[in-house]
Amino acid sequence: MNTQTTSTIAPAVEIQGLSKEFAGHLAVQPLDLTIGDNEFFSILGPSGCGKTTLMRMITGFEAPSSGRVLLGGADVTAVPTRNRDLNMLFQSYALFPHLTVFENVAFELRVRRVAKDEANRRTREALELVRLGHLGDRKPDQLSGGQRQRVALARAVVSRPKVVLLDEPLGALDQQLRKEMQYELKRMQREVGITFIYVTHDQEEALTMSDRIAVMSEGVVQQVAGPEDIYNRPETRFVAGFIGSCNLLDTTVPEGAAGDEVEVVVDGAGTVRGVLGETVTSERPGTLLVRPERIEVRPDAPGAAGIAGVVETLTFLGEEWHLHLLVGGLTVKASLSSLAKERDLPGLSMGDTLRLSWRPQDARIVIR
Amino acid sequence: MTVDRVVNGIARGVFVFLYIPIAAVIVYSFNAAGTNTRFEGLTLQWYVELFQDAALMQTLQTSAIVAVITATVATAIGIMFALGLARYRGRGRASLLALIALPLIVPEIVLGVAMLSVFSATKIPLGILTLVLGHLIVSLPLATLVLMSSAAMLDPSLPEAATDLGCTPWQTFTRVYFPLLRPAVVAAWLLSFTTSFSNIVMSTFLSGVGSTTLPLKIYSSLKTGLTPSINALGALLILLTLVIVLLVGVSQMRRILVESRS
Ligand SMILES: Nc1ncnc2c1ncn2[C@@H]1O[C@H](COP(=O)(O)OP(=O)(O)O)[C@@H](O)[C@H]1O
Ligand SMILES: [Mg+2]
Repeated sequence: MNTQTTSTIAPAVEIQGLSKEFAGHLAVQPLDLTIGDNEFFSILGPSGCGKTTLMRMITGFEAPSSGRVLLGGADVTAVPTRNRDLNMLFQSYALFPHLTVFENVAFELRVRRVAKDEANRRTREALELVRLGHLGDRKPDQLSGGQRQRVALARAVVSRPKVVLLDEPLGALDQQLRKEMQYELKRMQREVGITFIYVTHDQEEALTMSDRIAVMSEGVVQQVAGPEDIYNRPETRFVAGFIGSCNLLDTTVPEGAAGDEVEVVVDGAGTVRGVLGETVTSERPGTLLVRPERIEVRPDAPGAAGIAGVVETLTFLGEEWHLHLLVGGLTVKASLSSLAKERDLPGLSMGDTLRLSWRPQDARIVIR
Repeated sequence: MTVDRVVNGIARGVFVFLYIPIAAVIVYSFNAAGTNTRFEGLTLQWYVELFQDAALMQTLQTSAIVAVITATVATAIGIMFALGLARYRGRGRASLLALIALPLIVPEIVLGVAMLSVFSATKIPLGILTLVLGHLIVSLPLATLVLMSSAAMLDPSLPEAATDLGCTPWQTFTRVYFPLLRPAVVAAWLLSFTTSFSNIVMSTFLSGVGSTTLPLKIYSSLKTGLTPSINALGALLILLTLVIVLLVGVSQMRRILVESRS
């Protein structure tokens, strides 16, 4: 890895107040993002939430309605795509069918008039990186889907751009190959040390590969954080519901509440605690977010802590059990490792009453 | 099977029907008799006469010049139309397509009359220029349709990929579009060329003094009777066609014809 001698390294990409309007509809609402050097950064969200539009504004294929894009500290908002130090990996791969694999990968170096020997050497290196050194003479239509994907990646990194953007690149591959390519993409990104901006609607893909994730919904960035924080500490109702499985319990946040151990009343269930990210000056409706595996279930005993719940369904999934519990009028999902079930609740059956509790830092209270 | 035999027989018949006139032209071009009713041994006399017939040679030259210019311009404009329409999905696309194909449906004689009145109104003298413009009207739709079917099959992200990899719009054209459309470009050019070269109706209206085209000349010489030199000319044109087919390559030719149709 290169060690930069300058004391302040500008982030690879800075997005400031960037938005895009299509015919009166805001596909991307004004947003700010900072993406670091060498970062594997994912943009995760359901189809139609504006991911592609955001990415196309970064590449310059789409002109923003407002805001700026900075690359390595320089404003490139008005710079045409071909002069931006970034490359895109297209979902269709967009390999040039009339060129060989080698010529496809060498394409950018030739267009940019890199000396022939140098261009050939770097092309061979890029092909080695994706482990396709032996297929340079093939035409794209003589390759499998996975191989085409690798050629497209080699073509995108051969000029060592500052950023590579990937728009749902694994969408066209089958399940087995997707898993392999997830691992490979991550390996290659480490090896070349280029910032990857990875667009996907697949939460698992984002969680396993990314250094950080931006979760998007309806043109709004909901949360930017590392995979663990995104999963364990969702900050909005949307993030909690979109990623993994989560309990969303409606509640009322009292006036003046703030801090990491806020007590709220969940109707019919009782008083519970969680983290409130902001200070509320007046009573507001809120939602308490808590993941099923963060809920501890214990046998009901007189004076036991937590709220009471009656087992509605009980499903065995091998490594763990999924429980649906009736708490007041609400159904709460909880999961329990097979080990814990065997050790603590061996005779558990439907209709049993259990005590549910969680650490305050594992639950998040958001204002609706 | 009898059905097979019948089909086989018909197919043979059609082949004979198609190629007998061509064979006849070639044979008679060497016929010493000087008429198409008897055969009296071989001669090259008609070829010599052909090349000595200055008036006929003049019309051949006119036709060749007009056809080359028409084919080149029609192909160039056709490429722009095709690339534009392949990407354009907005309103008015269907009407634009209809507008381009319209000259194929409107009787050529109507177009010829219309163009003639435009040229006399604007006082443009009839000649090579008016011939080219008239032939363009009929070749351009063909060239555009051939090119469009090929352009529509290209992955729409290819030009974006090229831009992304540093290409200017011109480089995108020379490095990506043109090589990929080359078979269609060749097909469109040849189609426009033959359309222009063999055109009679438009030429009747739009040729001026001294710019008679070869088909017009042949047609008018029908009144005085076909000279054997016309056979020699026909034989030479057939030879030229064969050379083109061989140059382009038979397999390439088949691809062009199949591609321009799909
Ligand atoms: N060129 C366009 N013209 C009009 N609307 C568009 C255009 N591109 C995208 N949109 C709209 O913008 C929204 C976001 O689209 P997109 O960025 O493709 O979402 P995603 O990539 O997350 O699926 C969608 O509602 C889509 O219909
Ligand atoms: Mg998309």
